[in-house]
Amino acid sequence: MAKNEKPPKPNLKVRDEYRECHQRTQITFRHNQRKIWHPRLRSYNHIEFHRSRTYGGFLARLGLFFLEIYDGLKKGYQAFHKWLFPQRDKIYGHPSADTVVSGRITFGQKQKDLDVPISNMHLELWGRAYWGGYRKLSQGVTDRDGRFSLPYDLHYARRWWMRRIWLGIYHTGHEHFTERVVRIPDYTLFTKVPILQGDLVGTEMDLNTIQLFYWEYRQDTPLPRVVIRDHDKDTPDQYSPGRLAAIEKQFIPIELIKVKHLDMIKFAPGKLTYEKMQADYPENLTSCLKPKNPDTPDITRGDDWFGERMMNGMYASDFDRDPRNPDLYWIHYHWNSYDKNPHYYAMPDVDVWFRLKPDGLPLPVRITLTGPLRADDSDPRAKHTFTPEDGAKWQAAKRVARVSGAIYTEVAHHFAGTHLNVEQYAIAAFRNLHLSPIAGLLKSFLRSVVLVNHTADRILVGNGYITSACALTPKGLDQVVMNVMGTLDWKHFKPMIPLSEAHVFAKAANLYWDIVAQYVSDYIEYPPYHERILEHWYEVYRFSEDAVNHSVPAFLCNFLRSALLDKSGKPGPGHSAGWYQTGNRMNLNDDRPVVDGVPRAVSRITMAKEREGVTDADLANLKQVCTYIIFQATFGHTWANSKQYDDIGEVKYCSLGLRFGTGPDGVLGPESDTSIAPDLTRATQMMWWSNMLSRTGYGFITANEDKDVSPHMIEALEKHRAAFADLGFDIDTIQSRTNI
Amino acid sequence: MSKQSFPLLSALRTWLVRTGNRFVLWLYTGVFNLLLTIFGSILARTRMSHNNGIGAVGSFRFVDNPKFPLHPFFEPGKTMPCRIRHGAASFHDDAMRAVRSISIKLADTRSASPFDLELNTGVVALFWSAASFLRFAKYKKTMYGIQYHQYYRNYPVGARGAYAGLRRNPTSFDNLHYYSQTPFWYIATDNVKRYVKYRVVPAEEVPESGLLDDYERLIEPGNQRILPGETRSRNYLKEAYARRLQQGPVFYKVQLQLHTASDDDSMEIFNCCREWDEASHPWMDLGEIRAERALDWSESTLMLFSMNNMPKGLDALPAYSIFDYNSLNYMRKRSDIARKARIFAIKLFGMPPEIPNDDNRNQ
Repeated sequence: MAKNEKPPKPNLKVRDEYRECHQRTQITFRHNQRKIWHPRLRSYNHIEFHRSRTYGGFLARLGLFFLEIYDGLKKGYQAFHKWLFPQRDKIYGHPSADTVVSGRITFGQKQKDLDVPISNMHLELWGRAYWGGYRKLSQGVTDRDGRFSLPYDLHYARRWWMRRIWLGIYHTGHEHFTERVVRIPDYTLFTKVPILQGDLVGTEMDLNTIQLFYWEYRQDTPLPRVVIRDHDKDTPDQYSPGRLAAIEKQFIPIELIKVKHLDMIKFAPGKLTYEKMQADYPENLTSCLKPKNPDTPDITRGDDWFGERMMNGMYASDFDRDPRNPDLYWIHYHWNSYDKNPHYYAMPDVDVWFRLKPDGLPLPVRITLTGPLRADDSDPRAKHTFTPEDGAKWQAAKRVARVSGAIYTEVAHHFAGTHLNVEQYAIAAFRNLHLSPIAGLLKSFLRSVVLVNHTADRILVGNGYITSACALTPKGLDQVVMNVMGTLDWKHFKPMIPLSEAHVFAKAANLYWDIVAQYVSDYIEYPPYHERILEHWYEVYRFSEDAVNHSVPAFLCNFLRSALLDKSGKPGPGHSAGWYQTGNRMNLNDDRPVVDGVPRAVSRITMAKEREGVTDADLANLKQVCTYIIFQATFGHTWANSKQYDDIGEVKYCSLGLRFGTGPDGVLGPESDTSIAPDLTRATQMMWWSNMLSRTGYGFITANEDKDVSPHMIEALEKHRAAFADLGFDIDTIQSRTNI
Repeated sequence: MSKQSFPLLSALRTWLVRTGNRFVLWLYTGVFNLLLTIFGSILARTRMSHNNGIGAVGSFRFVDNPKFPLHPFFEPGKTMPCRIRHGAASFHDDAMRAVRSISIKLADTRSASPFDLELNTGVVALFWSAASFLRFAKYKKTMYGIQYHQYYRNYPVGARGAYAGLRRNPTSFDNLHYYSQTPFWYIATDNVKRYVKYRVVPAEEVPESGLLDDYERLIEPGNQRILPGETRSRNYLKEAYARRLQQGPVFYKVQLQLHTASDDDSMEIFNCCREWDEASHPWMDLGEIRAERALDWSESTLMLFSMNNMPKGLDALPAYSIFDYNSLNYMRKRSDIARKARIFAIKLFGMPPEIPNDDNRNQ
C-alpha cells in the first residue's frame, strides 16, 4: 500500500450495528438502593458457581435486616467511641532511653519463614486509663533484623489509673490521597500484644520474638500464593465496605437467574431451553448483533467478526508471523501436553492462520485442529485442517477455535496473567514495603487481589467451574497456570506493537502503558519521594528478593526453545526469530535469576541493599516493575475481564468447553446440535460466570471510590480520555485493582 | 496554661506524687516482708535465699595507706574481729549452677555488728529495683532445678546478670569474685557526697573458678541443674572450704569503687545492673579478711546479716519509689523482721536439718 493511501474503511453498516449494540449492552453499575425484602448475599467469599450462599427466605431476610441494624448501631457506637476517646498522636510522659520495651518481629510460618524478620513495621505502645482515655506511650519501627526498642516513661506507664497496656503492631495498609494530593500512609492495626502492667519495671522489657502470621507464602503449591486461613475472619487483606456492598447489589440478580435455572433443571426437566436460558440473562454483544431476519447472515459467525474479536476482543491474541509464510499471522492454543479427561469434552490443539486485510483487521484463512474431534477418536496427533471453503465444517472449526481461545484467555491471560501475576507482587509488596513511598505507589492497585484469587481457587480453578466444563483436569489446569506464570516477567515488558491501525487493543495498551510509565517516573523522581525511596532502599531489595525467590521456574515450550534459542539458551544468530513477536512476552535475552539451582521467571530489580549501591539501572528497573504491576493490575485485567461478557455471553456462540457431541462429525457439528454445547447446568453456570465477572464491578480509577488512587494518576488518564474514546475504549471502565 | 505559671501547685503536685510513690514502696515492701516472715522465716525456718552456706570466723584489717578519702569508720591499720558466710542461691546442691555469695560482719557475733556487707558473684545483678525483685519472685516457678524462665525471657538485663553471677562447680569459695553491685553512701570526712560499691576478691591473684564457658552460656540461665553424670556431692564446695581452712587461714581482699555525686548524674549510676567504668572508677583496697576457722552448720545458720548494720555515711541510699534503683537496699533494710523471725522460729521449733550428701539432686 502506498504511503499516502488511506486504509479502506470497514463496512459502515456493520460498524453502526456494532456501535449500537455495544452501546446497548454496555455495563453500568448504577443500582437501586437495597430494600429490606431484597435477598442478601452472605458475603463475597460465599459466591459459588453452583449455589451461592444467599438468604432468600422471609425469616432469614428479616433476621438479616435486624442483624444489619445491629451492625449499623455497632458501627455508630464505634464511631462515637472513637470521637469520645480519640487516640491522639502524642507521646505522653518523658520517655527515657534507659527504659524500653524491646523485641523482634518475624514472619510466623514454620520451616520457611520462621526466622525471616519483618523490617520497618510501625509499632505503638499504648495504655488505656480506667475512664477510657488512650495514652500513647511510645512509637517506633522495627529495624532490618526485625528488632525494636521503644523508650517509654516508666512512671507514666505504671500510674495507678492505667488499666491496660499493649503493643500495637501496624502495617502500612492502602494509601489515601487527600484532595491536596498529599500521600497519607495508612497505618492499620494488624495485631495487639498485651503487656502486663506489672511487667513494666524498668530497664528493658523484652517481648521476645513475636511471630506474625503475616502475608505468608503457601507451602502447598509452587505458585507464589498467600495463605488465607479463614476467608471470613483471618485474611491478610480486606475488601473495602463499598466493594462488599456493591457486589451484593450487582450480584444477586444474576445469582437469582442461575438459581432459577438450576431449579428448573432439577424439578422441571425439559422446560428450560438454551434459548430461554439465554433470554433470561442480560443481552450481550453477540446476542444483540443477531439478525432479526433469519435469512440475513449473522455477522457474529462471519470470518471478519472472528478475526476482529481475536485481535480486539476478550482474546487480545498474541499474533506471531507464520515461520513458514511471513505473510500470514498465526495463533496457537496448545492443550495436548496437559493432563486432560479425554472422554467427554473435545479439546484439540488449535492453530489459526490469518491474513491481514487492507483495513488492518485479521481474516482467518486456515484452522488446524490436532487431536480427537469425536468421542470415538483416540489419536492425539490426528490433524484436521479447515479453510473457508469447507462451509459448515469451517464454521464449526471457528467455534472450536473460539472456545479454545476463550479457555486460554480465561486461564492464561486473565487468571494467570493478571490475577496470579499481580498476587505474586502483592505478597512481596505487602510483606516488605512499609516506609518506602513505593508502598504508596503500588498498594492501592494491589488491593483485594489475594482475596478474589482465594475465591477463584474454589470456584474457577481446582475443582471449580473450568475443570467441570472442559477436558482439563485440576492437575492439567495447574500445569497450564505454572507454565504461563513461567513466561511472565516485568523486565523489558512492553505491550504488543500494533499490527495495524485497526489493532485497537495494542494501541490502547501502549497508550495506557505510556501514561502509567510517565506517572510512575514522575512519582519516583519527585524529590521528597526519591529521597525516601533511596533511604528505604532495603525495602525495595527485600521486595525484589521475595518476588524472585518465590517466583515459578522460567518456562519456554520445547517448540520455541528449539526454534528460537541456540545451545547457550539465548536467541542465536542462526535462529531467525523475526516471526516471533516479543511484545507482551518475556525477553529471551535476559539472564534468568537462579534460585536453588532453578532459573526463575521474575527478574531481580536490584542487588543493592543500601542507597550507596543503587545504580541508574536499579532505578530504571524499579520504574519498569512498578509500571508493569500497575498495568497488569488495572488495564491488563480490565481488558481480559470486562470483555468476557461480550465474547462468552452467548452459550452457542462461545463457551468455556465443548462436548464431543453425538453427531457423526463430533464436535464439528452445527450449533443447533445441543449435544455439543455445554449441558444446561454448565451453560447457565457459564452465563453466570461471564455476567458475574463482567457485570459486577467496583474500584475504578476515575471513580476512585475508596479515595486511594493518586489524583495525579487520574489526571493523567483524564488527559487522554479522548484518545482512548477514539479507540472505542472508555477509561471509566478501567479498574484500579484486580478485585473480581 | 503551663505548670510554670503555678509553681506552688507544681511543687504540691510533685510532693503528692513523691509521697504517693514512697507510700507504695513502703506498702509493697512491707507486705512482701510480712509474707516472707510468715511463710519463709517462721513456717519454713529458712532464709529468703542463700540457705546453702558455711560460715567462718577470723579478722578484718583495714589497709595502712588508703588511696581514697577516709570515712571515720575506716581507720587505717585497724583490725577488727570478723565473721563471714559463704552461700549459694538458692538450691541445696553445691554442684548446681548457682550464684555464690559472701556476707561479712565486722564482729564475732551472730547478729550485732557495726558493719555488715552482702556480696554476690557477678559484677552486675539479676534485678535492679524493688519492682523488678517482686517480678523476680513472681516468676521463680522452680521445677526440677529450673527457675525464673519467664523472668529471664522478659528481662534480658536479668539474664545478663544471671550469666554474670552464675558459677558452675567452682573449686572453692575463696577464689571467686564477689560484688556488692548496689551502690551505698560514702560520705567521708571531707563531707563530699560520694557513692561506693564494694567487692571481695582473693588476696592473691588466682584465676577465678566456676566461670561459665561458651557451652554453659548456651544453656539458658534458668536451667541450674547439675551436669549429667555429675560426681560431686551436694556439699562438695562447703566441704572443700572447710578443708581449706583446716590447712591454714584464707585471705580475701576487700576493695571499693567511688563515684563523686554530681547534679547531672544519671539515675543509671544507681543501677546495679550496670558496671561503673573501671577506668574512671578504679578499685581501691579497703582491707583484708583473714578467715581462720569454719563454723558448723548450726552456727552458720544462726548468723544473720543486716543492711541496718552500717555506720552513718556508709548506709543505703534513699529510695523514692518501687522503681527507684535504690529501692532494692531499702527493701533489704526493711527485711530485718524476717531475719529475726527466722532465728526466733529456729529457737522455737529447732534447727533445720543439715543438707545430706544423698542422691536427691537438683533440690
